[in-house]
Amino acid sequence: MNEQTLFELLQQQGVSRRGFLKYCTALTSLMALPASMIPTVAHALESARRPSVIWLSFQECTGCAESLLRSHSPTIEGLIFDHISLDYQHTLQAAAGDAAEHAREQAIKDNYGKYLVVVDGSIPLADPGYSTIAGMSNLDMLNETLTGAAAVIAVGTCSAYGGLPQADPNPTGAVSVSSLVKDKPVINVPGCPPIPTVITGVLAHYLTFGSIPELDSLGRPKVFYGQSIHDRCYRRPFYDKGLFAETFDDEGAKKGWCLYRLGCKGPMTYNACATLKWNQQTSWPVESGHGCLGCSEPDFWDAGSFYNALSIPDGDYTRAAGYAVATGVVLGAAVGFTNQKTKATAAAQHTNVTVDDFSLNKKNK
Amino acid sequence: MNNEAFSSLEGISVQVENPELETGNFQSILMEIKFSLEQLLEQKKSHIIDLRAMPWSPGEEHKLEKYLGKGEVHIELDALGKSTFYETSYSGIWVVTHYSEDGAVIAKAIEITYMPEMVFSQDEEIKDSLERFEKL
Amino acid sequence: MELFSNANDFLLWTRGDAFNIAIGIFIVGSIIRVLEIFLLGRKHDFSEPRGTEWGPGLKNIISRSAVDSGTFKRAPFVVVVGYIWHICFFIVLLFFVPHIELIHATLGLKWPGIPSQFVDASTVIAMAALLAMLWHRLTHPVLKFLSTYEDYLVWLVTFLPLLTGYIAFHRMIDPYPMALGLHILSVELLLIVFPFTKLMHAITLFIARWYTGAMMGRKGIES
Repeated sequence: MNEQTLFELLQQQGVSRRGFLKYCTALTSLMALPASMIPTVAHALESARRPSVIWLSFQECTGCAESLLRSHSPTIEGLIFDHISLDYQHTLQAAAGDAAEHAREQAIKDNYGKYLVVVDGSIPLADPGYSTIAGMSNLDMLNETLTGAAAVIAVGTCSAYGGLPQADPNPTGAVSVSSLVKDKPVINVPGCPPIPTVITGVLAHYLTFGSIPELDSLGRPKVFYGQSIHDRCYRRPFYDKGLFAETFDDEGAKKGWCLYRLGCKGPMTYNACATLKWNQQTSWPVESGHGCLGCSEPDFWDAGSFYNALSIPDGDYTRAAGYAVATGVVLGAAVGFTNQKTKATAAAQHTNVTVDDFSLNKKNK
Repeated sequence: MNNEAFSSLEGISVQVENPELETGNFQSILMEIKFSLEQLLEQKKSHIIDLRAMPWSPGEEHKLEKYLGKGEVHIELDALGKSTFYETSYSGIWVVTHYSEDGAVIAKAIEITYMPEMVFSQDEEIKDSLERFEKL
Repeated sequence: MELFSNANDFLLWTRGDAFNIAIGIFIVGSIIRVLEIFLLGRKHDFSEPRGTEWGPGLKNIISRSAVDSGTFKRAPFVVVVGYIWHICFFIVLLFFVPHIELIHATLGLKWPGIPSQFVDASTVIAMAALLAMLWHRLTHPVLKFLSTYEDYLVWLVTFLPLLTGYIAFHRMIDPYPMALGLHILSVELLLIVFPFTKLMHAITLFIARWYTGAMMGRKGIES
């Protein structure tokens, strides 16, 4: 089914050599590789085979799939999607019912050991009934599908880190893919949703090189998540100059000053928004005047208000301080009165030194 | 969704709120270009700067293009959508933009070279042409 | 790192529970220490006052910040480096915008910040001053003899927030939430140690100076 190489497929479609080079150029840029890598990419793609992809959707909102599938059509993302074999995506195939499930089983069998599994959404462990597909629990489906997978791509913060379903108090016992999968490579592509070009960039990397890209400590590809929003932000000079917007409509906001005080989580967030931007590179949250929410980081729903500066503690510290004052006063008073008592006792027991105490015949007294 | 709608948006003039806002990339790219021009002359080595690989403040990328200006050569290519190549007012510096079949920009770069590689006729296809001629 | 599943978890803990614990201990400890001083009381002074207490007391709080020429002649190094350290430390503490945000959120007070390059430079100078003072303590025979473990502990908990703050600002530890978390944790350590060590001078100096000034004022002596 997927025996044709990508190059042969493009040739069949009447794509010229220049067209192929153009495709490679776009792909190289998409993978955030230096332009000097274009010949390497071209060479690799000449013999690359279309990978089979099985897409599993668990506890999710379909926002991640929307991000990808609705990314203003046929851009490079579309091109990539033409060149993988998406064999199962139950949201898109819901109408196919049972046949879709057979397609998944067939894909596992045909491409055993070679196919990619894409997961969006977290997996509920509290009760499998919280999320099932075709009568199968998410956990069972994940385990069954993973048996012959080459690698798993956890698309979106829910599958990468638990995301919204896992937010306190986590009623469904939601967990991430990486907390369940220990024997296969897991690539986390977090974001709520992730940037579509990042999703396809990771797929493109696998398509081109047949390997997974270099990952950071949280399992994210370094090419896209290697730098923080803050480091790549065009408003960074204002942070350094100490110029900050203090409300969303003050003079600073209009002049495009730094949004740190309005709760921007850019300093702790690793993502490619500042470079790749959104909606065909039109803009990105900070450019449209709103701070970064930190959506590609673990626990971002539990990290306090989106509008609190990063340096502000987010526990109930007023209460803690209140209790502390009360405790302090009580203990302080207790210690104070004990000291007074010690002092009074000492004073009461005090006897004046008389000249007799120094007399030579003291011993005889 | 469709590109028509987007191209009509171009008609609306956009005022950049803070034209002074710079990331510093503008200056660093000029330095990179200067260095690459020296390398091109001395070692005949081409260089590509991917404009997608760096953050820009609103309007900054446009400012760079305006700064470089347009020169004598303008080439248009039609393969998997349009591509444009033009030499800037500085010889040896080219701006290359690749569009998808729908007209969306899929790659954009500054090339410091005598002629962007892709413009040349490609060996594989010259061979193909020869075969076709031999059949005549 | 088994306690925390990742660096973000750690950062959340330092900004949440750990901060509550630290601020709690700091407040309880400080109040105990201050109440202890006040509740000890003073004997009633039956003498006729020759001047006022409040004015000279408040004046003394400020005037005692000036360099005393006698002390300067005896220990110029301690005076100069001490001043540099305190000034730079307060620049960093009070004028770095993220710190102002913290003060604004917790105490409701607010003032303008300064460009981060100045804060950065002050941090480096403050760290250099602390290192110089440690060197002085270790090389001066008398000072070394008099030093107890508390002196070194106090030095350490004062130095760590500067060091970790510098590391976090320059993002020298990856990922950043770990760097920021360590910085916050080091400050929490400082808060916890504060009431039970000589760091308490930051509060008691006001009481001591006021009392001295007030006593002198009452007696009609220039302080």
